[in-house]
Amino acid sequence: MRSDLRLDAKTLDRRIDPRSLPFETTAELVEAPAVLGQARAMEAVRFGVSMEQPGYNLFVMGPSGIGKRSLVLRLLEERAAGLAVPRDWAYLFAFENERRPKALSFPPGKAREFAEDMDRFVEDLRVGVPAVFDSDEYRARAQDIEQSFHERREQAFAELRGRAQEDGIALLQTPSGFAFAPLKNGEVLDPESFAKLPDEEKEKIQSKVTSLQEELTKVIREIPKWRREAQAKLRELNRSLVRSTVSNLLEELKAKYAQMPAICSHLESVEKDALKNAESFRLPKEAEALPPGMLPPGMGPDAVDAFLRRYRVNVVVDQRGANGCPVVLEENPTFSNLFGTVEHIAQMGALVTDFSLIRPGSLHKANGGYLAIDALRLLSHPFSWEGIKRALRGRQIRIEPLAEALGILSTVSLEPEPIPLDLKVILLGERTLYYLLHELDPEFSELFKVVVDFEEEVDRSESIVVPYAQFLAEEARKGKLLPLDRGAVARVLEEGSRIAADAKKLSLRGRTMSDLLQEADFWARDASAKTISEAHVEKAVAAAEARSGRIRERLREEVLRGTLLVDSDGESVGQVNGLAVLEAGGVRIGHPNRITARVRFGSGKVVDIEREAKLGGPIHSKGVLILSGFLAGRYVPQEPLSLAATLVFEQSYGMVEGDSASCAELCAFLSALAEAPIRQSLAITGSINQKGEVQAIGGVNEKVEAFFEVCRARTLSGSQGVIVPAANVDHLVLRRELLEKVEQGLFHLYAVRTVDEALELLTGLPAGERGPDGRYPEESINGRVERKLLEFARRARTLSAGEART
Amino acid sequence: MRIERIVLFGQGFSEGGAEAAAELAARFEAKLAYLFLEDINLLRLAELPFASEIGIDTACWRNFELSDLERSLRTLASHAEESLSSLAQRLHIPWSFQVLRGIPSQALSEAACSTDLVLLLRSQPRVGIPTRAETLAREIVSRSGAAVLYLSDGTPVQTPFGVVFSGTPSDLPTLRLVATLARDFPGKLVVLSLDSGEAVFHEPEIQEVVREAPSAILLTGISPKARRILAAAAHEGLGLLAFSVGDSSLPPQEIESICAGALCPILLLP
Repeated sequence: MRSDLRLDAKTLDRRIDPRSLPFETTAELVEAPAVLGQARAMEAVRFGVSMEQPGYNLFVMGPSGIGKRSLVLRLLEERAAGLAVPRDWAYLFAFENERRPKALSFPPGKAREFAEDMDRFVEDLRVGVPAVFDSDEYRARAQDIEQSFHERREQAFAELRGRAQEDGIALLQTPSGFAFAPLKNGEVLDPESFAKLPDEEKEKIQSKVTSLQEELTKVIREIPKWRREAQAKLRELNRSLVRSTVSNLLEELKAKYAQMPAICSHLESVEKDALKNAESFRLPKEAEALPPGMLPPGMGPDAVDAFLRRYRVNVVVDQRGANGCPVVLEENPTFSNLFGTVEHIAQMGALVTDFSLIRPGSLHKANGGYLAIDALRLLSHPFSWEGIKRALRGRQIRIEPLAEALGILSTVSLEPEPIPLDLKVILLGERTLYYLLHELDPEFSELFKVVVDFEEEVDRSESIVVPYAQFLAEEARKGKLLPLDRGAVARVLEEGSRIAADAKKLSLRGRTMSDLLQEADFWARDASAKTISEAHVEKAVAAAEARSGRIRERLREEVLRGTLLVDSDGESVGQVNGLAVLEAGGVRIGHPNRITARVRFGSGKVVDIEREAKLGGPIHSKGVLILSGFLAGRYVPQEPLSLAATLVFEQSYGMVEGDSASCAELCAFLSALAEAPIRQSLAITGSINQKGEVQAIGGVNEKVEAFFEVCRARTLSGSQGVIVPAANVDHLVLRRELLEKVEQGLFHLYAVRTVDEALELLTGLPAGERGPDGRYPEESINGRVERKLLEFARRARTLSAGEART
Repeated sequence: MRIERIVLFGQGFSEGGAEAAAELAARFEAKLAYLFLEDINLLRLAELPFASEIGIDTACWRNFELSDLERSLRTLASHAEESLSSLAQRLHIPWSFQVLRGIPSQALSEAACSTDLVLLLRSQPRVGIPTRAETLAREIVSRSGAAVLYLSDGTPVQTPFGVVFSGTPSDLPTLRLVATLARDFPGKLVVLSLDSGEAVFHEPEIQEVVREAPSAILLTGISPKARRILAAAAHEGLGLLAFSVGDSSLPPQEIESICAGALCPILLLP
């Protein structure tokens, strides 16, 4: 056994000495932590938010849980505080086209003030104008107009009646009109008496009646005209009364907003409209009798109030009390939430709306500042992504209710005037999303020119320890957790490397670290401790592993029961313990797998059974093909490979992907060719290249620990261990229990650079190098392999010659 | 005071008038009789060969047929009867409905002979020869001896009650009736004493009648002119003004003017 390849416990020990930390507990670390390891990202953010050209919106990418959102928001808020507060916006009734409400901008905080002024104006009108209409003066004047109309009509009828009476004719009221009849003694002449009259008399009466009827017709035809005249007078009376009230109320407002021409112009329109609709200030009598919900559109229980809504102001952006420009995080970027919407209310079964039902979206709220959106959520909501691009391209916010755009809602709606847009959009998402958008959407690169790429790890050095501890202290403070003592900090730092899967790095996954702190805090409080100690962190780590350890334990149990065949002692030809890792629910689970190889004389084909059964992924197949290349390149270069070999992951019934078992497969293969038994007390992981060099793989910690767990569950004999690529040594951050066994010599780790080193460890035989004669030593592994391959080659030649003779 | 039968006269149905009449009937536990009058003048006109009518809103001419007229009158009567029925059911009062045909003042006077109180509305729709409602009211009282309550739609009978007193013999029953009404409601009695009645008012018999009312005031020196009487009534805020037309010192024109100009209901007594 080559002891020079063995890794000693000291090399594997990643612990930090708590005594080296310059504090007792994190309670002493009051200084706000600096941004750790994100210099590139921070520089990109600074550039992106400072760049004023269009299209320089930001895409912040990195895995979730790294803290990119809170960091970017913090930076934006710091920057926003020093910038000018953007203008307020409000929607107003458009008198010239009420379907297109007018958007008006105000100096910061002024929109609400104007709205309040207009509310007061409306209240004054609501009270003042009906009071005028209720006044004795108005009633008298209105009655006068009504009376003069009636008198005019009555007078016309009376004159006609008088003329008729002079001729002995009466004007009678019929159920639906008027008629003339001859009178005798104050009563209508009966038909018999009329029949007895001389014809001349009859004709005379008829002629008079006809003449009177024509006159009556003229009178009745005049009546509508008289009524219109009376109504016009009444309207003018209403207008004159409203004018004095409205003008008085508006004068003050006009003076106050004299410096704002747009508002003054709106006030002028209000005045004109109020005069034009003076009648609307009075509650129509017929509306009073209608039950609730049956009122016609636009007429509420208080029709005057419904009418006066048009003079109110719908403030959609109110910057009153704001310091700096807005920073908005849209958590639910639906189309309506982003761009605003026009709501409707049901009246008499119809959906109606007006400018006061326009609701702003987050684009309105963030206008003049920054809007942060989760990219995946944005893409998940229909039309939101297209809408954002359209808004950024057009540089305006146009409220188009989605239901109407899709034709789902067929009702009268509004087209609010668009509002100019000037903001930075910050999308937050995974890297994959950025690359996909970049590739699939040509507009994306035009609109999101700044990429902010967040690091997941930071170099573990002495200089980072204190800032990292400050970061932990801040997390503890924010989460109202107990302070960490320095032992706990040292343990968390170690776990930081473990999460990063690199002894020379520390993880920057803030959420994972924060979870660990919270769980450690739970165990500390459970033990009524005042601070979080190393033991609490250890307990939190172990408890988290235990919670997610069902699959891991089940696999181990099956190995121990012999259901899954994995040996941890003895020797076997063409059989090696490989190590695999699978990921489920964010948890990586390592487990040992038996790999076997069989060889015989053949046509030079190495069969990967996984690939043949379509259970091997492309990278795994690549590994096996590399293995063939290695064989062809190293042994009997002048002869054709005349073997048939099969390789298989035993008891594997799912997809096998990755090349981390290629070194193990090669070792099994060479063991079979060399007929050299492999020690089953060892497991091996690593990928191989065509030159026989062992290359780094992923999940090394989980793989090592999986084999260790199996061996420990049986008996640690002192000969068991795992062979790992030398390139992975820095990635080893192993559990403390394993380290203790290494220290005690009960378990070993070996770091290899070549397959020869691995073979020597696995077989106990020298690998052998070619001598000056170009041959490998006879009893070395390589010598045995080459001898076997030569034998196959000779047989192939002999067979070939025999065939040629026949 | 006992009122057995209240008559509501109509040619077209008035909701407000019917409501007022029904409430009065309910108050006095009297029977409400609706007399629907078909003016015979109209029927005669419809039989004349040249009869035609002109639409009130359209000014269109159309033939005025007897069958059409009768159908229209039946429709009006039927509507009035249905409305009265539902009103009577609501207020739990006995009621009757009768269609009369004749000259309005004659027919109503005859029908009102056996009636305690006839209600006439200022704005009640009428068809036939136009008759001033005030004239009709006065004629009914004169001819039938029944009391006529002349009022506007929606104007309730309420206290204080006023009575015009001129010292004639017929004024005493009127004063007695109104004093009884003031006691029953109860409410204040306001006596509007005309120049001619001032001296008689202080007689013991009359004073005894006045004492029946919970409270009473006397306004004296009012000249027998409609304008003066109406001004005094408005000043006192009267909810009913009563006077006798039998041997009143008030000429008929003044009586009709009071009826036409009063803001409160007018009770005309024989």
